[in-house]
Amino acid sequence: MERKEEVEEVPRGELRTLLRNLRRSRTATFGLIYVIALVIVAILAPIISPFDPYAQDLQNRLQPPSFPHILGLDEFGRDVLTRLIHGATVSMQVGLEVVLLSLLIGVVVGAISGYYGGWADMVCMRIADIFLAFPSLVLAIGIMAVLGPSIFNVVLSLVIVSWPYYARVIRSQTITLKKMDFITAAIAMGASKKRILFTHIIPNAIPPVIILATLGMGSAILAEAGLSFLGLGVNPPIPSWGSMVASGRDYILQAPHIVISSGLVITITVLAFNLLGDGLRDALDPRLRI
Amino acid sequence: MLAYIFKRLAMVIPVFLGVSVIVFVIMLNTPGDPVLVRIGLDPNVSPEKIEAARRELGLDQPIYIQYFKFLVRLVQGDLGNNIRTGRPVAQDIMEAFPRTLILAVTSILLAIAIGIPAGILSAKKQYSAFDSITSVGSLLAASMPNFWLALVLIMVFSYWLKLTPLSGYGEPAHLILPTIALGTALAGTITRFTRSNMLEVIRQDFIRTAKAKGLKESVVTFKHALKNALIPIVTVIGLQFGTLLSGAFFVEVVFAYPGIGRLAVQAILQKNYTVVQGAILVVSISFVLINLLIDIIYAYIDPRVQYE
Repeated sequence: MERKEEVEEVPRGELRTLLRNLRRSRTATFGLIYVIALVIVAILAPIISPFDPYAQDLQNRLQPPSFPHILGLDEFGRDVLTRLIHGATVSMQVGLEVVLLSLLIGVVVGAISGYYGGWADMVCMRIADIFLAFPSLVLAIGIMAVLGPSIFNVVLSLVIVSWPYYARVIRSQTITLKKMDFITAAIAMGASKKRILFTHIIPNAIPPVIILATLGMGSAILAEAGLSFLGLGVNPPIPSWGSMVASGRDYILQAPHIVISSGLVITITVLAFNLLGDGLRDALDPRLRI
Repeated sequence: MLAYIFKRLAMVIPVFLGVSVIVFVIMLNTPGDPVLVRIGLDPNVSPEKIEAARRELGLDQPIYIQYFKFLVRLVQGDLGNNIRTGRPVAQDIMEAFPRTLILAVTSILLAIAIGIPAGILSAKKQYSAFDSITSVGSLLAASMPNFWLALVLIMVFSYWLKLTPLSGYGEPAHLILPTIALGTALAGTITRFTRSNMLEVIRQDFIRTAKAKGLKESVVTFKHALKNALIPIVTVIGLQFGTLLSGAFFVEVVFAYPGIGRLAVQAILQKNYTVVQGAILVVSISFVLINLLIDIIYAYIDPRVQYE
């Protein structure tokens, strides 16, 4: 498995080549465009959404899709499209925070583990093993059960369960890089250990992790939706895709549009991140494209 | 082989200890005072009574002693009592967990039945229309939230077509929709993995040799390529077992299927923390044990592993 995650490094000047490689794949291009669009929607949510996400119209609750409510109204008569748009902000926020924080912990732990080896490596990796021993969502559910629902707690619980994956990949990258000639050259030139680690190893270990981070965005968004679906994620009435599926569940016969639209948005979003991640893997490492 | 098994077993013990520490720490922080839960919400309770209850629950002792006692009880199979019913938690779990395992096994079987043939065909016909559709389809399957798929299945097959029971447990028909909801993502993962492994294997020298010998295409595909491509899939299924157990927490809730996932989620909503703790421990430990078993099977099928 680990061998698959190892990908050749891409020097910074090759970003353009990377994008060109990415554009060759239609599915990856779709993923990229969707993700960019979603980021814009998430940032501009208050401006572009047609209605107030909290405004209730109890007379017309559960109204099916029609003009001007293109995706209909929910059980409190709130506009579904508006709530999906605001839900994008929550999903992207959770996804980004989870990925960046896990990446930060993963880089620190993985680089120390891989570079220094010995007992530091031993301790770090045994700790990672313990966290990996839990089915990750089960651990997240347990943590949320104790902490109680909130966006901050969702991020915290998902970081706790996802950092070991990043640490492992960074560690194996570091071990591979450590043996390379340019590191030997740097040592020969008298570079300090700290300098080698921060200016040579870490920057070169990052590109393969970009793939993992992209796929991680998808899993974090899926996990947040799941926790919110169980009532353990984002607190109502804050719009979250997962809690929209949960509340639509009670009206699945009278108003299937709530469950269908919110679930589709989750699916397409996660799919887009997965397609982009796959495309990045192919673009970063042509060997794997076969 | 025996040495390898012992080595793997020795590696599992610290992991178990670590898992127990983490679960213990999480549960130390449960909201609500276990002492008050024990003696009820009597406003006139005397300080002596509170003190007695604290002592009874062992809460007057230092944390490491509390942990040690927790560990000793755990090894004896004592997971404490259900706060609401007073029944031993172990009994609740013994009832619910086999049902989850049944669901997990049917889901794995479904995923294998779809994923392996689809993956082989996709690899054999690389870059064909079938391959592209399978590639996107398998990724789509893995991207769908299983709780949503479960609801859509209920909507279509139970409400509209009236083919399957809505929810519940007892008859084989009750397993159909939960199995599809839980197995779909795994089917996608297995398809992708089979495809990429087959592609890797068919490019190797021994396959060229087999073809050069004039063996039939089907013999090369099934006897030479597939056999080698399938070995790593065993590991993937083991690793995915965790995802499957997590998934059961959602699918069981939607279908009111009385497994360990529904037990745990209901317990969380009722603040019944001993049950939550027991469920998380049992699910995690079984995940570790299953991976241990798979590692040993793997080493048996592929002796190279033992020397790494």
